[in-house]
Amino acid sequence: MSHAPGISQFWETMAPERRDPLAAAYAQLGRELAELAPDVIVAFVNDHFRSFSLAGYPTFCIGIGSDHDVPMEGGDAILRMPRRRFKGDPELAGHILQSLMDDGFDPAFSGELKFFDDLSVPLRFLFPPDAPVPGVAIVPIMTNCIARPLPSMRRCHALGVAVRRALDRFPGKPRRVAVLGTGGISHWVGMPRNGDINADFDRKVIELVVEGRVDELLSWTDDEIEAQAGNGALELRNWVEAFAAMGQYVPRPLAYVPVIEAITGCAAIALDPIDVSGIGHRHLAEGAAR
Amino acid sequence: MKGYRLSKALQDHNSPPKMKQFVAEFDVMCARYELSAEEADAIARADLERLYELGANPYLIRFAFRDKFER
Repeated sequence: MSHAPGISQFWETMAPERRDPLAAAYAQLGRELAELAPDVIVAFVNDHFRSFSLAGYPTFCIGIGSDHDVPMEGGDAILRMPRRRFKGDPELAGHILQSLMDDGFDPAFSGELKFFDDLSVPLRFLFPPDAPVPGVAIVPIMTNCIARPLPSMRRCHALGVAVRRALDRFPGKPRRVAVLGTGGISHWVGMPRNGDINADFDRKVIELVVEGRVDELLSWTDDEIEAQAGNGALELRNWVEAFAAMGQYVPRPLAYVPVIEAITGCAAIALDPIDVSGIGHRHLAEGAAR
Repeated sequence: MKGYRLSKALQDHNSPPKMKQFVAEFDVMCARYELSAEEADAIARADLERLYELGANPYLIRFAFRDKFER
């Protein structure tokens, strides 16, 4: 799922030919997610100088807080959406943190992450604000997508695999887990091409996902991505992590719209897990579930 | 790291009103952040393209010069 402030900010005034397909895709994801009733959403997101600064910028950071304000204070006015408090899952988040450490990753952790469009835009549409705050817990996993140098796409993929391993060996009470990856696709933020969208690039990304060729994404360098699709497309890291955390899945593209109001190519893809345990329940997610 | 001090100056002045304050105390600020003549000039002229070329983080360019991006 893509995020950009404008998707929420300009939602009401967005041209119907762009809003309608997105609205349908988001509504479908929301319905399917409600049906799956996950206990937890592991959300691969990224900061935009709200949680972190040049005083200290973690490459990876696990959100261990017991609750999360979505969006952060002040974000509601700018994003034009209500501010809601979602639960965290400190037990599971702490386990993921330790498991990643044991696996040779060295993430930072924070109980005070500040969410802007990164988490708020997907949650606005997955859980419409006119309904009560859902009971689902959020475990945010942040990756540096904005202050270069960034972790390589391959490293991000490996992190996603390691997160899945952590989930599979969680010793606590079993959780139903959905996975959300959000960011990109093409957009230029504060760059000379600010406002552009490269729909060809975006469609290529979706095609690779649909054809099961995510490996090809991993070989793209940040200079190549930034030249073709802007610095905002560097957020594809969150997608790559979600794909890896899903393990085996069937991708189901629901929408792609180059949203000029939000200066971003916006996609929604559901990832239906191939359930290796053979249990016949149909899973899904915004990212996915298991 | 290329553009670090420039980015730091923008981060500390992450809105148009704060950039206005920067410009009001221009020489003091440029000395505080140890900006090169080229970097100082790019800020003075609000040359966003040049700031980017000099290594300023584009998100921080956008925050500091938000008014230049208004649609």
